[in-house]
Amino acid sequence: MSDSSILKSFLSLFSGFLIVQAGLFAWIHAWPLVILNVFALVINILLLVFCRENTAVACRHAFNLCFLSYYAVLGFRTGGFFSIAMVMLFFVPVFASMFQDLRFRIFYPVLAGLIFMGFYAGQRIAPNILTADRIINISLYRFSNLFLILVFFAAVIWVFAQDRLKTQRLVETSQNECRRMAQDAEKALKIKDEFLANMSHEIRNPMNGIIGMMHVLLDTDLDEEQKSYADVVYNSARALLTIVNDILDLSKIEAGKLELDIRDFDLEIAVRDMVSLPAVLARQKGLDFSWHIDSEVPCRLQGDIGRIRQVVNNLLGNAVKFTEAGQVSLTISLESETEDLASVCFSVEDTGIGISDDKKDVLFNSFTQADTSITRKYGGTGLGLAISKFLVEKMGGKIGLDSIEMIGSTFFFTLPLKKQPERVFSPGSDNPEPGDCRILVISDDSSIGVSFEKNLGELDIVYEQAMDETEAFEMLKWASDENRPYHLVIAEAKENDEIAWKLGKIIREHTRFDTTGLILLTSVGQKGDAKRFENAGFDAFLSKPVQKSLFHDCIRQVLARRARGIEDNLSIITKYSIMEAQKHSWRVLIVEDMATNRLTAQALIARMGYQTDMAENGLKAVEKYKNNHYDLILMDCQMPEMDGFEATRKIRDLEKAEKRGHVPIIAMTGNAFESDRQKCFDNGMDDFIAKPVEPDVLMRKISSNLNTGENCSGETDSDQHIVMPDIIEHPEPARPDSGSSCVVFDKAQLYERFGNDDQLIRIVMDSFFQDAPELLDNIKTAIENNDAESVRSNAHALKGCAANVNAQCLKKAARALEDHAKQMNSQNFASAFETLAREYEIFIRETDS
Amino acid sequence: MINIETMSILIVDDMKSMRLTIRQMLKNLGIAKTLKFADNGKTGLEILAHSKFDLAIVDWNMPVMNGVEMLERIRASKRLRDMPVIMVTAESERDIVAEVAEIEVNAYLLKPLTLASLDEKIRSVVEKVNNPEPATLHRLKARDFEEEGDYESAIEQIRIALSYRPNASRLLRQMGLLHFKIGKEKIGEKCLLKAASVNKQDILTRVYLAEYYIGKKKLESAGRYFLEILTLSSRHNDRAIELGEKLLIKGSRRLALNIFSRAITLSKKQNTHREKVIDICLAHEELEYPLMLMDQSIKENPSNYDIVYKAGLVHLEAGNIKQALNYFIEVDRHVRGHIDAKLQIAAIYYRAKKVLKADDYLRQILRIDPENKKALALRRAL
Repeated sequence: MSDSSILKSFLSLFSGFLIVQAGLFAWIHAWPLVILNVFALVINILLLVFCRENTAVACRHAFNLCFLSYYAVLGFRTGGFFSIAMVMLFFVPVFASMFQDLRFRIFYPVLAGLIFMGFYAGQRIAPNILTADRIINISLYRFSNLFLILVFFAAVIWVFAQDRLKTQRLVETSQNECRRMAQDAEKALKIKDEFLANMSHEIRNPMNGIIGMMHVLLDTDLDEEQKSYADVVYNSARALLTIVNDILDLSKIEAGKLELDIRDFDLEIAVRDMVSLPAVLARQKGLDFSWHIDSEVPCRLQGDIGRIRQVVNNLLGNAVKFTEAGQVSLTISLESETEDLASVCFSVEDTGIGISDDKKDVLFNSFTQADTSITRKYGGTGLGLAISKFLVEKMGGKIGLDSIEMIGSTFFFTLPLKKQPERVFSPGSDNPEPGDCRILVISDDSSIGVSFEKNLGELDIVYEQAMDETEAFEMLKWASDENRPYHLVIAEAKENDEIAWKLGKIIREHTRFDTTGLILLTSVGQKGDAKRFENAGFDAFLSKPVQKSLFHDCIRQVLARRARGIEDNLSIITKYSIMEAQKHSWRVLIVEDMATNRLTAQALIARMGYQTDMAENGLKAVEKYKNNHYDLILMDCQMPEMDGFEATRKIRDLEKAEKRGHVPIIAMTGNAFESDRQKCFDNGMDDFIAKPVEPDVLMRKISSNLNTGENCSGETDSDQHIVMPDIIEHPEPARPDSGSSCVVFDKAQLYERFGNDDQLIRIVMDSFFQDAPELLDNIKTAIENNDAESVRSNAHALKGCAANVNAQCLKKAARALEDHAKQMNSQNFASAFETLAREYEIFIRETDS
Repeated sequence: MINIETMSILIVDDMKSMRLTIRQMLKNLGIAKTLKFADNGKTGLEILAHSKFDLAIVDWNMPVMNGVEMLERIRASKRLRDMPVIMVTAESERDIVAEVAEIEVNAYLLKPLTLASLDEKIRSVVEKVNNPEPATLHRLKARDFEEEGDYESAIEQIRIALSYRPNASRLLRQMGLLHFKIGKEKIGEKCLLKAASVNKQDILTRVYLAEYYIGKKKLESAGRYFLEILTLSSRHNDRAIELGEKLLIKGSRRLALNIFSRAITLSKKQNTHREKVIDICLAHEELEYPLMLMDQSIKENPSNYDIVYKAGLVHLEAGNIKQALNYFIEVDRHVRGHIDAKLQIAAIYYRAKKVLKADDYLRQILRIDPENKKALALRRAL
């Protein structure tokens, strides 16, 4: 309802009342009041007629003034302070509320109050009651007035109600507006996410093409220059792909679509693999890089190792990026442990630029780096930490950092990881050999990759090739009809893995191909692809490049798996799982008579992920060795019945007799003397560990003796390799081999040094001939007194003087004497001094000439 | 501002020829107006006590007080410490360079001096003093704050200095030491670790770190740093051997022996250190290593029969009776009337049931000293 309509309703209400009242007054013949009423009525009607939206404010003023003055006059004429008209003044604030302007809202009530006060002050002055008696006693008058009051009350309530309704409606519309905007924003966000996801996906496909083909290109014969260019292209493409992947990850995260791919892994193998690239980068930059897994951390765990790797790589990448000198290290430690859960803490420490306290909070937000200037200097999207934070939290862990500005930062995250249940690994000896199998190969390109072909050739694998998935399927069908089915299909994806995926789907739809294994060899693998191909029915998923032995093991495992028949819920074979299987199939025999020691060693080794077997003494150990295969034997030296030395000799004899491979034997002994060590080696042991066995040392010794190639810890443990006697070498004192290589007096050099200044040179030479005899005398006395220190300092001084005048032979002789003095070889003093004196004579003769 | 043509230089060298050379060279180069000379560190300091110089050129090797000691005194004095010093050394011995770097030398000059190098070094030093880098200015400010005891402000200044030169190990070290002073040891340790990893030659930082770890009873960490220190300088050999002894007691045998062998190999006074290590090892029941050391010193210096005798004793203790006997006979053959050696030989023969030979030696002893109780007792047992 508009403001003018409220005014109009007031006006009409008031007018009606004026008419009634005019009639009343006329009835009692109070003619002046009738005239007053008529006058007010006229004004009201005029206002009613002329009230428009644009004149509303003026009309309101007029109405208020009219109302006030009417009641002022009426009150004055009908009994002053005691008139019932006084009550009507209380309604002035109601009318005033029509104004938007606060000043008028106050002004009119104040005016009404003044009038009221005026009547109060003037009540003793006998009012000019014109028709007082007559009017006051008319009940009708009273009734009309009371009625009006009630009506006004009603009007007041109505006005307020209207007002409230109006604000409510306003709130409602704005709420609607808000909702609509929020929906719009949400929609926009969704469109953005979808766009990003689509975009990244669309970019990824051609990128995969580029990277895949670069692989192929790098496989071909290129000259140095071409190869370096191709490398640049390849690396740039990889970098671009990383950024695209980051963005894709982030959009997935924001859309809540990211899922974890939990599988078994071996921490040591995984970490060794994930540090290889950052380690190279760090060393290229001249930084020290080290990594270390605490010996108490269990190695066989379950989790999304791909995502853990992503986070670790991210943190290591940052550490290397922001460190200019010093070191970067990765430490993995155990925070807490329960029966089936281990809380593992990964921490990456660097000596980089550090992060100031106020930047620490925003660091994990997306698109934020500590400083925009940093973005300019170091590059990067600033997405890494945000993604890391999300991933860690998604895995149920926590991420954080400690940093001191200018000194360095430590980023760490803890993850609760499930421990793997105990499993027995079947020895792989009964697996079929790939040489006896029928193998079908299919590639997304017309020819298969060079390195793949080489791998197949080196493993002596005979294979047939199909051009596309339909041909492959036909071949499979024929072979099956002829009852000589293929054992294995290897699909290569150089550029595009769609063909392989489709083929996998088709094959697994037919139960008659259940005995056929499926392997994917891809150049374009992405995170999550393993899962995708697992769902498509593949047995193994390998990313190129693949080592020959790994490939071989993979084929064997797949064949074994298919030969056993299908077992559901077997997870796909990957590079990791093969490496783990290799590691876990190693068996260590622990020979030790003390039960506690044996159990401790067993616990330690089992924790590292190896299988263990135990024997109480040498005799039993030899028995066990006869019947089983072990990859390593840990042998105590002192044992009842048969000691470690004899047992080792027996085992070595058996090895020779039965032509078995050399099994590394590590001795455990309480005596750490050189002679004991020698005894171990003499008896055919390969290494030894001092008791009490330290977990770290044990770990290192075992992994180094198991031909894993590397030590378990990335640190260079040089202190372990320093064999005591070697280090003590004595620098041979330089002997003055006069005449052979040195010049007695290098005049040219001297002149050059002094800028061919004859006078200067003469002064210098003169002073030399003053100093030198004195020094020689000093040395002579010192030798007689056997004062090595004095010999040394004087010889040193003479050396300096001789160098100053370019007397090279003399200098050499002086240095020889100095060296002897340093090593306190007093018996050589005399001969060295003789040489020195002779050289001095020669020098004098030389300069004289 | 130092004016290169009118500056004053103090030249400290014990050799007159060198002093003259430098004077003539400076004259030819047109550098410096006032020159003063001193023939060793002590007289140099006496001159510095009542006059100020813009630069000092100090020889490293001098009698009475050498260059390093003089430089240390200069840097320790509030009045003199900002004076630039050029150190003259005969050759770039790694030891000397590392040692001098610890006490903040401004430049080195290698003997034999050349006009060009002298000119270049002086000019670059003066240039640096006249226009110090911002990092240097903040470092000096930090020093002032530190002396007033306002460590927080000092740290702030070092932080600013570091923002100019983020990989200056000296600044990082200073930061670490300041944090130690305000009790934040963890941060201090981190600063020192960074300083050490940034500068592989920084001995002083390593010494502080090692001492910190010794204080924290982390002897292995300290030992590792001392191993590094030993390859850089032989100045801290005694401290290293001391730590080695502690490690030996604690059971870190390998680390201790590594420290010993490195300390001995790189020592200037090999024999003294070797003997000290031998004594330490023997005191803590470590036989194999000192035996090796002794064999070595005997090979080098066969005429030191004290060692030969000692080696014999140790071999005896270790159970190598044959080797011990050889050594004792060697001593007996070359040192007249070495009663102890003879006694040992007799005892060995006695135990080997070679009574006649034992008796022969005992008779020799009694000929020299008829009252020798041990010999008499042994003879009675025969």
